[in-house]
Parts: sequence; C-alpha cells; structure tokens
Amino acid sequence: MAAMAVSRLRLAPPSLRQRMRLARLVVIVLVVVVLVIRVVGLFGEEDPPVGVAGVPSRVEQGAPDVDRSVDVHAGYGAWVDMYDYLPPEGSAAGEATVTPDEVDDMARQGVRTLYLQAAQLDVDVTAAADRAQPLTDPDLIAQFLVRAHLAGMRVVGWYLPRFTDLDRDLAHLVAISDFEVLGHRFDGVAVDIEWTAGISDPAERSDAAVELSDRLRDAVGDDDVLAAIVLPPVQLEVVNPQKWPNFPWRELDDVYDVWLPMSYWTERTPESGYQDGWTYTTESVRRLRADLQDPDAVVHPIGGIGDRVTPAQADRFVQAVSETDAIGGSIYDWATLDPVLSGDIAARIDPAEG
Amino acid sequence: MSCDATPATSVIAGQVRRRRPLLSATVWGLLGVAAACGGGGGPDGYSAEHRADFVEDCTTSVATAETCGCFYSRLAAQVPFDRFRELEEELTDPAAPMPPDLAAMAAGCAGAEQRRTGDGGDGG
Repeated sequence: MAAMAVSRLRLAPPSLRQRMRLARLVVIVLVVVVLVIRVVGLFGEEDPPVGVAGVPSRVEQGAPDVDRSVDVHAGYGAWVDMYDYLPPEGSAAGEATVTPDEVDDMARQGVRTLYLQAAQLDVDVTAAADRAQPLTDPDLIAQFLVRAHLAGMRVVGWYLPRFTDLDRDLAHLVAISDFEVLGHRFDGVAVDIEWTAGISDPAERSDAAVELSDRLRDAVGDDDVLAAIVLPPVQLEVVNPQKWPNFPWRELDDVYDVWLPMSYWTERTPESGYQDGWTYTTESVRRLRADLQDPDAVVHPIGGIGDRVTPAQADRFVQAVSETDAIGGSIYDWATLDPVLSGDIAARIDPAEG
Repeated sequence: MSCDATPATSVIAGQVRRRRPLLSATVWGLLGVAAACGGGGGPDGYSAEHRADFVEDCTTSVATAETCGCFYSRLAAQVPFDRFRELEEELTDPAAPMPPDLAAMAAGCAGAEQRRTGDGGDGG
C-alpha cells in the first residue's frame, strides 16, 4: 500500500504552486547565467589587436622580465652617450652619430649590453625645469630600449652626477630606474662617478657621492643591482693622486654591486707604461679590489678611447678581461670604435656565458 | 561579388582585429578580391577616418590613444601607404616577425608621451 501511495505521488502532476516555483527557479538560473556571461565578458581577455595597429601591443608582449642582476653586465658592451644621439644644436657634429637603427648592428657584432646615457643634468635651467625633463629624450631612449630588447640585448641606463644638487642628481637616476615604455624597462642603472669640477674639496665631494649613492639605494631598494662607473685606481693613485684623493671606495662598496673602471689606456703616455691594454686594466682591477677589500668584486672594465685603440692594444685588453675574471668588458665608445675591431673584441670577450 | 561590394575598410587593422579564424578568412578573401580589383576597395591613403579606426583598434591598457595617434602620424609621415597595406597583411598573422623599426616607432611615441605628461616642473 505504501509503495502504491508513493508511486501515485510521483506520478501526480505538479500543482500550480509547484509549477510557479519551478518557473521562478528557471528564471533565476537564467538571470544568473546571463549575469555571469556578462561579467566574464567584461573582464575576460580581449583579443589583442593585430595588423599594424597591433604593434604597440606586440611590443608590450615582447618585453623581457627585467632582472636587474649582475649578469646584465656580463659579456661585451657598447657605450653610447647623449652627444652621440642628441648632438647639441648648432654643434659641429650636426647629426647624430648613433641612431636606434644601429642597435641591430650592435647585436650582429656580439654586443650583449647597451650602456646608454639616459639622463643629463641641465645646469643652464632651473631645478624645476630640470626636474620636468629628467631624461634626455624619452622618445629616442624608448626607441633604443625597445630595439635593443627586440635584438636580444640588455640595456643599462647611466647618468653622470655633478654632486652639487643631490636632489636633482637623484631625480635623474630614479627617472632612469622607473622609466617604462610599453612594458620595457632598463635592465640596470649605472652611476658615472667621476665629476670633480662641481665640488672642489675632495672630502666634501666624497661625502656627496656617498650620500647620493645611499639615497639611490634607498630609492631603488635592496634587490636592484647598481653599477658604479669609476675612475681607475691607477689614475687616482699613481697617475694623478690629486684628482680625487681618498676616494670613498669602502663606503661606496656598501651600495654598488658591479664596478666599471674606465681604464682608458689611450689617455696614458707611453713613458708611464700604462699605454697598454693589459697593464692598465689588470693593475686597475687589482687596485680596485684591494681598495674595496673585496678580492671577488665583480668588475667590467671599460677600455678606450675607441678611435685610438689599436688591434694590439685591444688584444691585450681582452687578455686582461679574461685574466682578471671580469664578468665582461667594453670599449668607450661605440661611435668611435672601428666596427671590425669591435667585432673581433666581441668574439673574444663574450664567453659562452648565459 | 562585384568590386563595388568590397567594404571600404577591409585593410584597416581594426576591421581585422575582432575576427576569429572564420572572420579572418573572410577578410583575407575580401583582401584578395580587393587586390584582384586593383585594390580599389580599401582606403586610398591615410585619412582622418582611417586614423580614427586605427587608433581605436590600437589602443590597449599599455598603448594609450595618444600613443596610437602619434604612431599613426609617424606612419603617415614615414611609411608610404602601399607599404602600410603590405605591413597590414603581413602582421595580420600574429606569428609574423615584427619589423624592429615599426616597433621602435611605436615605442618612441610612448616615450614621447611620457615627456608630454611629465611634471610641469613649477607645479604652481
């Protein structure tokens, strides 16, 4: 009996109330489904644009993950200063000697890292005006940066502080660190610590250099690798001890991770014995590590000057880079170095690293 | 299909953008018809209307309308329209290599925009 009753219950048609409940339920489910579809549609990924209009989007998609590690300085580098790509108006130079188009030539020659002067203190304008344009030319800088990344190169932005207005110096450096265009950022920041004309007293200058460096470190954080482009210790300690006595190596060592001594042997006389790529570079690196009290300090010597470097000197420089266990090396600068010689150096200085 | 039936904007990037394979195939077909008809169906050159469509399709979360407008202006100034149309066809394939000078052109615009939008300095 009980089974029959249950069977009747199952077979009985739903009441009007039950049908209305069912209808309401169906409506609610439909509304929810529609809402979910709309929300997903709103927040779901839109197809990226294609064709020429899709170029900016593809540039962004191709941006490398920026890892500001010491490896950025490994291998062969090319140096470009602002006068290469932004010749002063009315100057004899007239036209730029280096354009973003040349980045592909650099890559073909074996350049791993482009060192690009991305900012310059404009001493002829007010601090406010200087702050308004923290980078030399964001348009051109962006072109160099993206073309280099597309060519598989890394780009380090560098700046020459004068130390007379640390706020302005810091603003330029932070602007380099923060610069981002279509997802591309500099792979490293380097500070060119060589300007002596701004503060005549060496101790005050040293204090300023250390303060600026500390403030930069605070600004970028502990994880970013910072590089110091420095006068070679041979120059400061042997050739011209008056240029910057008691350079604050130890204090700066707390801030910088990589050292790039400007070992421009072409600036030395034959009589000094330092007009030799190997002698000047190896002794500079040895003294640098001693000054830092760090025998394992990471170095990337810079030789030069490009248009006066002979193949024999370049050969000696490459030898020095290898013997000092330098992470990399380069010649200042790209515009003045013979392309064939540059290619030869790249082939030998760039280990199969990475 | 007569040549007159070819949509006037068939080679504009934006018209291609939203389509999935089926629609892309349609666009390619239209392009073929346009080519067969002497290219008479597409825009004859850079124009305000073409620019508006281009900017609309180019603009993304990272590429602002200003960047895209600048990009279009530089294209118009430096790239002959016939070449633009060739590039348009080439780059319809997302796997096609991107010309580095084109990438730099777009990047330069994005960089230039940063200069324009920078702190005015005096700040009042």
